[in-house]
Amino acid sequence: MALVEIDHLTIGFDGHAAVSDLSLRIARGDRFGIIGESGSGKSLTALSIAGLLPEAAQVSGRIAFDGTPLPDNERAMARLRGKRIGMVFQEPMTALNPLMTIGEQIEEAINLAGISEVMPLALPDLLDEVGLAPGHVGRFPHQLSGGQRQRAMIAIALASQPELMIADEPTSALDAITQRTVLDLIAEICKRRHMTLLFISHDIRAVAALCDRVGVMRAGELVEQGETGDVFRAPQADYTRKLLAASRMQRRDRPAAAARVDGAPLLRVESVNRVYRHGGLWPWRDAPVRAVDGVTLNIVAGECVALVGPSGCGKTTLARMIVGLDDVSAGQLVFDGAAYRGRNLPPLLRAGLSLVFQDPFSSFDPRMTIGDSLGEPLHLLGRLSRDEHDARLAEAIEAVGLSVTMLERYPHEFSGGQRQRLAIARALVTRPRLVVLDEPVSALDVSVRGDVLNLLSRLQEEHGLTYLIISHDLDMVAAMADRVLVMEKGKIVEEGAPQSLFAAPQHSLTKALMAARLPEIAA
Amino acid sequence: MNWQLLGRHPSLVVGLLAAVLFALLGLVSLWWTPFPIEQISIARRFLGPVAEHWLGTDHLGRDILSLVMRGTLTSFVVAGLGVIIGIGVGVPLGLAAVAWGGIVEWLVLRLSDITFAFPAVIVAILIAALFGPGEINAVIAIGIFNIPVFARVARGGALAIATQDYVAAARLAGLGNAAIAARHLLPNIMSLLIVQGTIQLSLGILAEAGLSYIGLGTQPPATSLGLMLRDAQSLFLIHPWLSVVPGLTIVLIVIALNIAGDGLRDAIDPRLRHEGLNHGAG
Repeated sequence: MALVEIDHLTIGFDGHAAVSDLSLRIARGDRFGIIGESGSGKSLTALSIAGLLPEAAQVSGRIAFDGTPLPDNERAMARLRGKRIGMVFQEPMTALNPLMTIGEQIEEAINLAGISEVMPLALPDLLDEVGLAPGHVGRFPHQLSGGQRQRAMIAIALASQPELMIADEPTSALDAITQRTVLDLIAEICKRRHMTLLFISHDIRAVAALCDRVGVMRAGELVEQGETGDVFRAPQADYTRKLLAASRMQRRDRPAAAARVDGAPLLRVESVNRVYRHGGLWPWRDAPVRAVDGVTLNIVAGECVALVGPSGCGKTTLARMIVGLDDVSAGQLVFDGAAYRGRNLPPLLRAGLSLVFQDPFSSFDPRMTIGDSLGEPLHLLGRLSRDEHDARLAEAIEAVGLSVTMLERYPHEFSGGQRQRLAIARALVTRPRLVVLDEPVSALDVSVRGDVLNLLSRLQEEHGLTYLIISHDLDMVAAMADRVLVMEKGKIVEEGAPQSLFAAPQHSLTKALMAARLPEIAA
Repeated sequence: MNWQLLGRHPSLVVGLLAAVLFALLGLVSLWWTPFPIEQISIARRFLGPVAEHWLGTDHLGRDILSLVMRGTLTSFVVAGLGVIIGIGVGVPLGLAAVAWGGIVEWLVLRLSDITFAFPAVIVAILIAALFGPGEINAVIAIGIFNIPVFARVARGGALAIATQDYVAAARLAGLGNAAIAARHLLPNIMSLLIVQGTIQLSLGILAEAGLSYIGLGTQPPATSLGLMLRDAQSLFLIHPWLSVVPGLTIVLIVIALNIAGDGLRDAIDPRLRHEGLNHGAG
């Protein structure tokens, strides 16, 4: 008998079905993965098993746990959750209580599980099992790294010796190296405890690496399910094929002449430092943080350079200084022959440089039309006539494959992929020469990533753009970049063409990044 | 905001309707009251509610309904002007604190700390001591009291907006601090300001009543609800009705505004609107 049985589950909000007629079985000991993009209803499905759906949800269908239907009674449901189901959420910072130490929170979970007689033994064992040191017990969530927080979350989920663990995008907020270690940890724990796992992710490769059965969800429906190997080897649904294709990134073909590496550098970064002081009343107590530490690099016109590194390595700080959002502490930047220190970048030079943000949902003012937002950078060019202004907007929005009529609309009317196209259009409206792309596709659904990357390639060829891509996604970098710079703790530690660099990494960080790469799905 | 939204928040409808009703009652008194409020008629004093005087007459024989109508107007005008001063000075200060940061922010915060340290009554006493009592002084005192409130609300809201990427995008587009504050920060904190404005309006009405009651606000022959209370207090044991009418009016207006404020916050604050759905996003 299956541990979790879901029959004809439908979840609706205000009459709109978010999940419709979903049936699935998760056998005891299975590792079941649900793959889906945002809005596919995969998280709602997981929450419904734990009885945690929002009050406004209208639910029909049957969910049974270990043969008995889920209790209607909230107390009984809470007991079931506390003892038999463990949950791990996406963002460990918000799932943990910031005012309690990690140890207290794990102990609380152990106490609630009602196995307090074994308590003195349990806490050290649990810490050991998830790879936390005993010293971490007294720390607060903000004193731990993202990976350590997620380990603490897993310890809390494991405290009650659950039969089922539900992990909802547990690694999406983590960088590549941490993601791999957390995935390995989950796999190892499941194996050791013979625990059933429901793993929810948009990352098809994470699911392939971890799960033995998968379900693919799209717009509230389960379009396909089966053994991992079968589904990926011979996908039945078109959507699965599309997702699989999107997860394999082809290196784009660029004419070798496109990158004239011998040309004069468009951007020079000359031994740039950025030091943060934590302020405070006693400045000498806090050692200053060197976010960027003596970075020197050149970018030649027409090149596509990628800057990779784990989170917190200073790559975003460097990008912010290059585009003029932050000042360097020492050193200088030279763009197109003119030196600047960051925010003192003069308007006409500013027009030659632009930035595409990571999160397309926060990069447009919700109260301004797309046209107003897109037109904003045109201030840099001085006064333009009305016709010229409109012509520039039309040129930019058509360049990214959208229509001029969309200029009248507001950001909430667009999907994530469309917004990122609009963000690219905004970056192009001043006809810049260098575009800095900060994780341009990491916030997007897998199926639209390919489109956006193709768009970027096409624009580069058409407009002769130079790209600086900031990312931790090695596959994307391998597909796009002519040259890769690896950054660690504010320093550039390795540099080279992607093929040679990834084939024979020299520095330990590059090796770690390569090792953390999830295996390609066999075709 | 649309009508559908109103339907989903009955408390907002009730509160707004009641508040608008009182405001209209006050407005009407500009052109018409049942009796002129200055009309004294000692012979007809202390009448209870009768057909001619719906709410009776006071110790000078003035019609209480007329006085309440005009008093409500005074309350709304004084409190409303106080809110306008608060928004007009406080919001730019709060936005400037966020847009410029550094020393500007420090100055704004310390300034609001200092202002917070003096309650409206102390400010009013100071102003009355300098310029004499009167409505204008009550407006200034309440306005000064409102400035740091709005400065803090504007700064708090704008701080959250300022971390958004679109503000960074605007900086990249070469917009200065003032332009960013006006184009991006202000429109996005409007809902917060409207809600706070409603709450400050009700606090202002209370403050005006308090100031008039201690004799620092409205002066006779003009009238306000606080002044009516002051006139009635010595007669409270003999003619409690005279205090009950203005007192109850103040209570009703303040309750109406508070309900409307709470309703507005529920209706237009997206954080509250989406509560309970944030886990279902995937």
